Amino acid sequence: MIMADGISNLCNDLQVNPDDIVMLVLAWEMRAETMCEFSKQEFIGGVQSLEIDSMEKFKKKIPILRSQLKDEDTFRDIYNFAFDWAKEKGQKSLALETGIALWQLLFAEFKWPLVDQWCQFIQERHNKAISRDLWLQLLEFARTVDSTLSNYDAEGAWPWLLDEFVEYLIETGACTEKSDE
Amino acid sequence: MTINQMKTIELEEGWEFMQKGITKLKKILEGSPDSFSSEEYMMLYTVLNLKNSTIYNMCTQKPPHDYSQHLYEKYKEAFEEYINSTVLSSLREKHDEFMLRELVKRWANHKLMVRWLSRFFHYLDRYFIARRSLPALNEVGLTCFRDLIDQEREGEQIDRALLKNVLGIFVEIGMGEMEYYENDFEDAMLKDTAAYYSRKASNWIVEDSCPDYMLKAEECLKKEKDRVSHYLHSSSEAKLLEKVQNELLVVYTNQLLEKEHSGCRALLRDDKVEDLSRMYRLFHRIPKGLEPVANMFKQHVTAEGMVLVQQAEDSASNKAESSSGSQEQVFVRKVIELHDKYMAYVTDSFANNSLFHKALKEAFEVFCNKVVAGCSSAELLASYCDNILKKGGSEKLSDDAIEETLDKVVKLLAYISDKDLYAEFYRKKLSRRLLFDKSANDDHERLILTKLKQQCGGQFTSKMEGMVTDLTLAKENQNHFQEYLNNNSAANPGIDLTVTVLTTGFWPSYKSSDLSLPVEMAAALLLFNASDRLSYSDIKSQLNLADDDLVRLLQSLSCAKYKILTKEPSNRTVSSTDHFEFNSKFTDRMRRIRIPLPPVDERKKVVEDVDKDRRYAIDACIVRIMKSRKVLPHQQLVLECVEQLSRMFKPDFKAIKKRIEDLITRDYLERDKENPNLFKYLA
Repeated sequence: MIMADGISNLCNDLQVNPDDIVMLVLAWEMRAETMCEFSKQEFIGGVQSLEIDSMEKFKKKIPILRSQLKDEDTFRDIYNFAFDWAKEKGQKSLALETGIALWQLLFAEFKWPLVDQWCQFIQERHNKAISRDLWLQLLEFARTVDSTLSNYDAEGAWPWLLDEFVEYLIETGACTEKSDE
Repeated sequence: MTINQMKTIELEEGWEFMQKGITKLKKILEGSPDSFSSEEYMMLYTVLNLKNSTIYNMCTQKPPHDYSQHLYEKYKEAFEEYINSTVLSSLREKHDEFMLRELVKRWANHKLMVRWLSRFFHYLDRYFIARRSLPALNEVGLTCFRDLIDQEREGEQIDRALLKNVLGIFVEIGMGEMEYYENDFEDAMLKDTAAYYSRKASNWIVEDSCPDYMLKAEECLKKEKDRVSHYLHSSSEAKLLEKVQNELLVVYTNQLLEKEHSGCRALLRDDKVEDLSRMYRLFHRIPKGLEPVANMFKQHVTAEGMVLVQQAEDSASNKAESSSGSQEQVFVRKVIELHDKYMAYVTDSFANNSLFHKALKEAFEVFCNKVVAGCSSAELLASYCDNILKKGGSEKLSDDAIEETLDKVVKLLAYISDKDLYAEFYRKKLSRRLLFDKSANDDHERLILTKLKQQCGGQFTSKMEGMVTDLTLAKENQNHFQEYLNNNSAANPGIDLTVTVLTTGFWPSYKSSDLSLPVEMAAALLLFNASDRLSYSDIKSQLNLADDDLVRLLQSLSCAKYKILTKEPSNRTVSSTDHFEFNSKFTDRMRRIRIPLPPVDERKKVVEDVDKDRRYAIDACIVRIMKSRKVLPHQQLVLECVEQLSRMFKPDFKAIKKRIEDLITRDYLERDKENPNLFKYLA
């Protein structure tokens, strides 16, 4: 079992910051079950499938792992993976703080312009754990609704917190309401 | 008939023979009838009979001796010659009405001639139609004719019989087909009519008020209808009326209805029932004609209702204290009166038209769902019912009047979207009526439940019915018990014992104890253990309550019936500069007293309870729908949910969304992986 200390050592050896998103990609590649943990099986299976048998090869793999984030489908897989990986065992939802940290990490990569407003909103108005549905739908929202909200459909099936977020954006003047229609 | 001379008859020979007959005929038609002897008639008929055989022969001879075609040409020539020379010239000599008279006479002759000639040409019968000669004649006649109709419209006397005869010609020319009547006469007449009324309407709409205009329009339509029945062909009625309606009503609909001092709104405002009926009669024949009227009706009723809401709001804020209860009663009564009044409009003036029923419903739904002076209308209605049903309520009504009023209240309930809230308030009040023996009349209690059941379904009233039944059973048991005691004096416990068994679940729950106080009230009273006299601001800072809560609390302790606290100055309102002291002299002859709770608290609890029930109801509804549909797009799920629940309340979309998401978390539903708008049921 590799725990937090071990992972910290691994990061040092790889010359990677533990907060680097690439560590999430690695966890995803190794099908890790829990954040800050690799089981022996996960780790061995992971390095085998990545064809890593030396530190040198491991280091060389890092940029390749990072580049996978550019692929939209892979990014989505990783985003979806992150929820189960990061939530406490036995819980249905993700702690708010962890969620916000992950969002900031992931959406910095994804370049969603509203990520700061979202994190602020979710703390101010919700301040509770994040449900899986909200987690999954937020990426959908970030992918499909443009930052001016021009194609946002209030009648759609967005989770109600996303509807509230839109209202919040309009309320705080971050976005203007659609004038047509 | 003797048809045995089978020799071939040449055309000239035969025609010459017939020419004689035709000439004779013309003479008869032109000449004066008294120079006509019976002998001549006889001769003519003989000729005719002979002709029959002659012509038959001429037509049935083998080619090249088949003269059918020639004969037909000749026949036509004969007609055209007659009409062009004799008939037309005689028509041209005359003008206007006289020309038409001549035309009628000529037509009668023409028919006669045709009838006779058709005997000559028995075999050629089907060719006899002398159509081509007539159009010229039509045109001449038409102009005079149309002028005559316009004259009549202006009120002059004309010879209707004459017109009828002339028009008969058009119909008869068509031989059963209306083509001639339609093309030659009707088209022009309709255009003329449109122009005539267009002129009229453009003046009237400026000069006349809406009621006057409608009177004129109705009169015009009636006259046009008479006109059709007097001399036009009946097939024209619909077309003619449509033209008139179009010019008088359709073109000016908005201008007419919107007339500032006399339009539809003014009529509604001034209760001009007759004019409104007329408006209905005029516009109901026009496709979509009633829509603007119904719309204005709706706006008017909504506005009237909003005035009532505002009035109630004003009087509530003027007399913030004590009498607010009766203000609410007044409001509900006024709403009922309003409903009576406009329902009568719908049934009487608007002939029960569904468009107006809908308008009335929509209008009431608008203001019946407003919050009036801090109370939802659901609560107001429940209180109103309570007031009618309880002993010593403010309304003194006869049994019939009570029945009628209850009926109306239940009807109003249909406009309220929060029916479940009404049910909860009603149940609270009902339990009080029943348990404290305040219900005035058992029959009335059952009656309103029956009415509610009819309108809202059995589920709605099942608890209430259970409550009433509990009480009935309790009374029966009590009687049995009393009877038993009377018969078994040994068993008499020596105390008064009354037992009422209540079924769990039917009744609203109340906590009971010797001293039951809401937390805030207890906390406020506890402060006086430490000091005898406190200022408003002391109490506020120590209890950390909001001003309006504190005012309500202190009001019930110091200004209501039981003065647990004495207040300085001693008046009926609490203000922030007041001082309070514990009233050590307080006593009461009753063992149990009740200090009414600040009213909002109970209301809040009822609303919370209802909210919780609604969450369950929405959950159940979503699961029910998904269980049968398995997969459903979001919007459809929401719509079905709203539809199913609307019997009880109008769930807002956000509430449904929250419940859907909660069900996703609880693994009852999931979103489709490809399409997040699609929900799947997880068995």
